[in-house]
Amino acid sequence: MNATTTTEAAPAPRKQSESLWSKAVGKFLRDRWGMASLLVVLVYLGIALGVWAGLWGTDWNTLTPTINAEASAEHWFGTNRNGQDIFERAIFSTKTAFEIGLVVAILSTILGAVMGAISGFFAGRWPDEIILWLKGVLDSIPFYLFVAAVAFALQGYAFSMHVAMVATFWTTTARLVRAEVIRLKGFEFVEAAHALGVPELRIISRHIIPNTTHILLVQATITFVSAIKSEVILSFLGLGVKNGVSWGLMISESTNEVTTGFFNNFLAASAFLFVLVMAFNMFSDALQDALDPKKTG
Amino acid sequence: MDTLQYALRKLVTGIPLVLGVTFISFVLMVYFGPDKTYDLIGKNATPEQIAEIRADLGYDQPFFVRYGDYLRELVTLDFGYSDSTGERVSRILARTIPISLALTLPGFILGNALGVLLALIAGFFRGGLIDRAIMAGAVVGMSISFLIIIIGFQVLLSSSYGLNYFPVRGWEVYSLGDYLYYVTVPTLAIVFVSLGYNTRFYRAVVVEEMNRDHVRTARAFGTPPAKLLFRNVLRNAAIPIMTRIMFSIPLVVISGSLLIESYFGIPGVGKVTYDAITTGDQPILKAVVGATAVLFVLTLIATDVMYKVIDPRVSLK
Amino acid sequence: MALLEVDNLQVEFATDRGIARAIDGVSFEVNEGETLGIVGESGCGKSVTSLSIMGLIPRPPGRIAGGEIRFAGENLTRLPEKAYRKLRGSDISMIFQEPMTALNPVFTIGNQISDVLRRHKGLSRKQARARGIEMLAEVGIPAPEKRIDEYPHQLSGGMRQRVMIAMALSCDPKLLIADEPTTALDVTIQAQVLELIKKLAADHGTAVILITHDLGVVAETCDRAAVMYCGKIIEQGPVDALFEYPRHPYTAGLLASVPRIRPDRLPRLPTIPGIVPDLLDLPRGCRFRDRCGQALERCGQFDPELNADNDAATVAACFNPNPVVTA
Repeated sequence: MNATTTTEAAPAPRKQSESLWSKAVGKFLRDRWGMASLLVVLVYLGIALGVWAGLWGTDWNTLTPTINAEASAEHWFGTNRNGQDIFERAIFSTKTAFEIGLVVAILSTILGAVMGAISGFFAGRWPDEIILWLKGVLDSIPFYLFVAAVAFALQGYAFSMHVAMVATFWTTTARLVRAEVIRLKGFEFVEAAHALGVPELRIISRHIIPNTTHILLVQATITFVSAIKSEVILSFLGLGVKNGVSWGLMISESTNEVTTGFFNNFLAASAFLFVLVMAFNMFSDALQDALDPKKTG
Repeated sequence: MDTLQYALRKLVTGIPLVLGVTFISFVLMVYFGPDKTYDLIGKNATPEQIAEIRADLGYDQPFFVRYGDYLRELVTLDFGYSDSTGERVSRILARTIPISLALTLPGFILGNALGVLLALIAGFFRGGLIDRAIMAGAVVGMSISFLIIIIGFQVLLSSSYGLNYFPVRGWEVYSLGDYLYYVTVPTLAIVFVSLGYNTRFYRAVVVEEMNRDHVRTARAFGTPPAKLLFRNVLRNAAIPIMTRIMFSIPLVVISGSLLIESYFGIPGVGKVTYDAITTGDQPILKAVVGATAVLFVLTLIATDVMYKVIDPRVSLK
Repeated sequence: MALLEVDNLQVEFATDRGIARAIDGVSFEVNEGETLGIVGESGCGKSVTSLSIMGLIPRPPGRIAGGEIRFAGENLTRLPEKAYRKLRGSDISMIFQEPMTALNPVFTIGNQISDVLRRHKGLSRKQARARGIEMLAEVGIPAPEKRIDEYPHQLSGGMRQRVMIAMALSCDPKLLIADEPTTALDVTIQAQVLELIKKLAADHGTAVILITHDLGVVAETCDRAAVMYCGKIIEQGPVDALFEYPRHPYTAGLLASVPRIRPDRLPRLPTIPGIVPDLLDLPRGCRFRDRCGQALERCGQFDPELNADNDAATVAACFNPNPVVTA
C-alpha cells in the first residue's frame, strides 16, 4: 500500500527515467480492479452509443397492453404501470446518464481548471479574492435549492439541471487546481520562466495547466459520478430530466409501484445505476493511484 | 475576551458571503423567478386590481429596492407570510427546524462517529485485510444512491413486504417511544448514505496522522494501540475531522432532510422547502436560503474558535 | 552474553516493483554500557536496523524475513506485541532525528514524559510530574518546573531534543538507540547534545547504539563501530582501528571523503565514484564492486562475508582488503 515508508530501503534512482504518463499507464494496466472497472464503464459507454445510434433502446416509450408484467422472454425485466418495457427504458437511460455525466464533468472541469488556475496564479490578489468569494457563496447555497432556483430563472429550460450542476461542481476542482498551481509556482521551472520574461498568460497555459492534468482527469471522473447520482435525486424532486427517461425518473416512478409489491422498475434502475457508479468509483480510485506522483513504486 | 473579539471580527468578514448568497438567490429566485400575480388574482381582474397586487408583491419597485427589502427581512428575521398557507414564515421555521434537527441529528452523529471509528480501525491495520475490507465496503456504500437507500430501507423495514416494524411515513411524536418509532428508518438511511464517504475521508486523515513522527515516537515508548489511536492520532486529527463535521451541518439540516422528509412525509424544514420549491413559495425560499447563509458564516466562526481549543499552536490573530 | 545480539537479520519490504531486502544478513553485538556506532549513507539500512530492534517495522509492507534479535537472551523477533510494548521506552529506548516533529504537538512535554513514567514505572500523576521535572533538570533544561507545562512548539530544536533524551532515559533503559540524534540540529548544539547523551548514558549505565552518517560523531562518542553498505555490514571493529587502518575499500573511501582540516590542501575532495545499487536490482557478487578501485574477478561472482583476519583489529567483508598495518 504505502511504499513511501520504504524510502529508506529503496532510494536508488530508476535506470531509465520514464515519464509520469507512461509510468501511470503501466501502473494502471497492472491494476486488476482498475482494468475490470474500466471494462464495465466501456460496456456502459457501448450501450449508450448504441442507443444514440438507434441500435437499441428505441422502444422505451412504446406502450403495451400488459401493465406491471413480470419478467418474461418478451419483456426481460417486465413492464411498468404504463405498460412500458422496463429493460428498454433502463437501456435508454444509460444514454441519458452519459449525456448528463459527460456534459457536466467536462464543462465543470474546464471551468474549475480555468478558475483554479487564475485563482492560484494571482493568489492573494483581487482576481483570487473574487473567485474565492464566489466559491464560498456557491458552496453555501443548499444544492437542491440552487437547482430549483436555476430552474425557475431559466423557466423550464431542459438543460437547467445541467447548468446548475456545472455552476456548483466546478468549485472543488478549482480549489484543488488552485492549491496545485500555488505549489507549482514555487518550482524552479516556473521561476525560471518568470526570470526569462515569459508573459504570465503563457506561463499559465504552457507550464502550469499541463501540470495539473492529473488532477483534472481524476476530478472529471468524480464529477461524472456526482452528476449521475444527483440526477436521480433531482428527478425524484421533479427538478431533473425533462425529456426522455432516466434511472432517476424510473426510480421515482417506482415509488408508487413498490408500495403495491412491484419491484421490477426499482430494481432494474437501481442495478443499472449502482453498477455504473461503482465501476466509475473504482476506476476513479485506480486512476488516482496510477497518477499519484507521491506513489512512485 | 480575545475569542469574543476575534469572533466579532470574523462576523464582519462573513458579511460579503451573506451578501453574495442572498444576491444570487434573489436574482435567480425572485427577480427572474415565477410571476405570482396571476396565482393571487381572481378571474376577470381589472387592470387596477392587477396593479394593486403587483404593488403588494413589490414587483413595481426597482431591482435594488427589492433586494434591499430582502436584506431588511433577513436582518429583522421577518420574511412576511407564506404564499400558500398564509402562515408567518418565521413561525413556520420555528416549528419545523426542531423537527428536522430531531430527525437528522441522530443519523448525522452516528454516521460521523462510526465513520471515525471505522477509519481508525482501517488506518491502524492499513494495507491489511481488515483495511481493505472496510475500504471496499466504503466504495460500495458510496455507490448506492440516497434515494435507493431510502426506498430500500422503507420496503425492508416498514412495509408488509419486509419486516414491517416501522411506519411507512409520518411523524406523530409525543413520547420517546414515538420518537424512536419514527426516527429509526430515516436514521439508518442517513447513516448508510454518509458512512462510505465519511470513512474514506477520515481514513485518509487518520493515515496521514499515523505516518507522523510523533506517532512513531509514541510507539517507541510502548503506547498501547487504543491509547495510540485515541490520544495520539485522533487528538491530532481533530482539526480536519471537526472541520468536515462543522461544514456539513448547514447542508445536512437543509438538503439532507429535504429528501428524507419529502419521502417520509415528515413536516420538517426540508419538507417545507420542498413544497415551497414545487409551489414557488418565495417568502419561504428566501428565508431558507438566507438562514442557511447566516448559518454558514456562524459555522465558519465557530470552527475557527474551535481550532484554538483543539490545537495549542493556533493563535487567533 | 552480550546485552543485544543481532544475528543474521534479514528485513524485506514489499514494493510495487517487487520485494526489496533492506537488511540482508546483518549481525552485531552490543555489550552492557557500551556505545556502538552504526555508520552508512542514507538508505544503507541503518534506520531499518534500529526500527527492527524496536519492533517498529511497518507491517505490511515490511517484514522480518529471517534471523534473530536477542535482547538479554530473549529473541525479540518472536516476542508477542504486548510484551514488546512493555520493553519499549523502559528497557529499550529510542531518540529520533527530527526533534521538531517527534514530539506530539497537542500535549505539553510534561504530559508526554509523565505518560511514559506512569505506564512503565506505575508512578502516580504527582510522582511522574516530579520525576519529569528532575529529568528535565538532568538534561540541562533551565527552569524545568516552568518548562514542563509548555508545548513542544514553544521550545527550540535543541531543547526539544533534550526533552526527547529526558523522556528516553526516564525509565533507566538498558539500551538506548539514537537515530541521527544531532543531524537536524545546529552545529554548535550538536556537540552539546552528543556530550549529553554520552554523559547520561554513562550515568544511567545505558548501552547506546548511535546511528549516524557522520563519521566525526562516531569517532567522538563510540567504542566500536559497524559500517553498513546496501543492507549489509561491510566492516566492524573498535573505532580507533577502524579509523586508523580501514580494511574495506568502502570504509577507506568514506574516511577519505570527510572534509577536514588537512596539512596540505587537496586539489579536490576525494569521492567514491558511482552510485549505490538499487535494492531491487542488485549486482551479482559484491555490492560495492562497481564502485571499487581494487575489485578482483571473484568479486563479481561471490558476495564476500565478514572475515576475521588474525592480525587485523577489524573484520571486513572483502576479498581484497587493504593490507593489515601493525602499529
